[in-house]
Amino acid sequence: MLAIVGTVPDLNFPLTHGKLQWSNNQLRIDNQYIQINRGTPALLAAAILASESINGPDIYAFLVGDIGKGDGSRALYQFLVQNLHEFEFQCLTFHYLQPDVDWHNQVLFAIEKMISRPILIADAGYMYAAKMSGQSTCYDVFTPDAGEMAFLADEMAPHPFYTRGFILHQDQSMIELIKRAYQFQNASRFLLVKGTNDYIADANNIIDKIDHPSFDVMEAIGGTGDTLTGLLSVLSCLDYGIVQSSIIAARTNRWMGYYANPCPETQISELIENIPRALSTVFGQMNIV
Amino acid sequence: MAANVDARGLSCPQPVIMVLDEIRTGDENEIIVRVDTDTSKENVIRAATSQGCMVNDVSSEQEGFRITLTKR
Amino acid sequence: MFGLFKKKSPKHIKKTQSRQTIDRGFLVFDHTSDVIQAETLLKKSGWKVRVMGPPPEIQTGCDLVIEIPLIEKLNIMRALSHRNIIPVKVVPVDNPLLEPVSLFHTRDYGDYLMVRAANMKITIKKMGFTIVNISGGGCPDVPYLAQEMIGKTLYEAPHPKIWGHTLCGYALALAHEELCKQCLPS
Repeated sequence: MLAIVGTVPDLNFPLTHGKLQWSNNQLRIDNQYIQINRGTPALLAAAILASESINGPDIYAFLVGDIGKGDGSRALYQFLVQNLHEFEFQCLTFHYLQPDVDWHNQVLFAIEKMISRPILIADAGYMYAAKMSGQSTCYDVFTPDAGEMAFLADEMAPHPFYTRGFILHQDQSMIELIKRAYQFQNASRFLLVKGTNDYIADANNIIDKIDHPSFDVMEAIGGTGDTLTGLLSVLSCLDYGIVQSSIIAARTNRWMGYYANPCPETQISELIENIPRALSTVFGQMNIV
Repeated sequence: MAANVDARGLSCPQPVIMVLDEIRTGDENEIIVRVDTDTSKENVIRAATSQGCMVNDVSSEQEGFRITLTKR
Repeated sequence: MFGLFKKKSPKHIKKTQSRQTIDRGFLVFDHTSDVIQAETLLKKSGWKVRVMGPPPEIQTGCDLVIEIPLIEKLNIMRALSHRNIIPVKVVPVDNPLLEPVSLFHTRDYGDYLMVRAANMKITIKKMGFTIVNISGGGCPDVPYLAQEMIGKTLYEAPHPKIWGHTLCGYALALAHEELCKQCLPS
């Protein structure tokens, strides 16, 4: 089973956990409906559509409402610390959460007490906390975008906004950024870096670069990074291994965009409905049964 | 003599970053922190406690909160 | 008669240039947090200031500076020192090499315009200035701000500086302000 931990931009959304369901184009956990939009809901929608189309894992979600004040995130952190040891997952993905080093460290301890250690994927605010805590190497995959990659590479930066040089759009070679992040132990076991080109890397080299199909408009559309992380999370639960899962996820995300024929005002929910077709295309290209 | 950290008007995670910097590198044993939101207050108190500091006092002020910490 | 068309002396031109350029300066700070606090304080007090990037000539300080009207320097410094916010230096923009740089990257998609500030991007439809997309960031206020802002015009949308709670929200606010500056009459 895959587990996703994240937030929903609705203060009234209670701390909720359970099996994710998809019916009538709606996401829900029991009686709680989740509107599909950028952020963790986009990741969940991408994951469940992908999983259903390739006979993938069930998805369990831990969600709470948080609009940036952090109260929801802290309640969810506390719940995880107290209860994670009762669960068993193949993969555990942490997403939009208020970055909090102390809670992050407690969650890591709680993971140590699980029956078996899941594959750990981190993105968004939780990834910021993982880096700030100095525990990046505990994770199997980070999925930063270009700006977040610069943040990982800047050993002094506690938040992407503080990243030296990036705020001034100084062009930095992605390969140099990846090298530097590993040099200072601010990278996970593998990196899937999202951008104009997607890079898959580990501490020793750039394993692959995916650049096709490519179109500039994707940069403007909120949620395209979230869907990539959702795809990777599902695939990581199957037998492809992290590297091949990353390649499939990156290619699928691009074909998802291609089939949607988007413009800058296209919303992520319109892209997500193309995931089954995109997966089929990529599996066909890669001769995966 | 206490160190003063004025984090009013700053967004997460800046107040915590400033306080942690002061705890790690500042010379004074006592630190007075000023924040202007409940969230920042909670975050600072937890961050300071996790670094072994004692929270001596938390009081409301005109522009927010004043937190007095002592390094252990 | 030819005196009317007498060339201006280089000395005269130089004087004119320096008179024109020396009305702005910028404040350099050690920490980003100082910049943000100073910006808030100065704007609240009614000064027209803006956050920019330091020119390549300036090696000290953080990645942000505050551009100020130089004529207000003394009053501004007084207001800042009252709050114990002390710039590392004050630099007059008296030559092109000391021009602060824009924080923003603008991308023109024809009918749409996207502005990026740090890790946050905001896209509008040029016709009507409707906010159509927001991307980037990782903190929970970003999806919330996106939800509240998308579909609204630059005029109507809530200001991320007021509704945001994190540095991601602040970066979005910078991008939003830049778009307003580019698109709306001042």
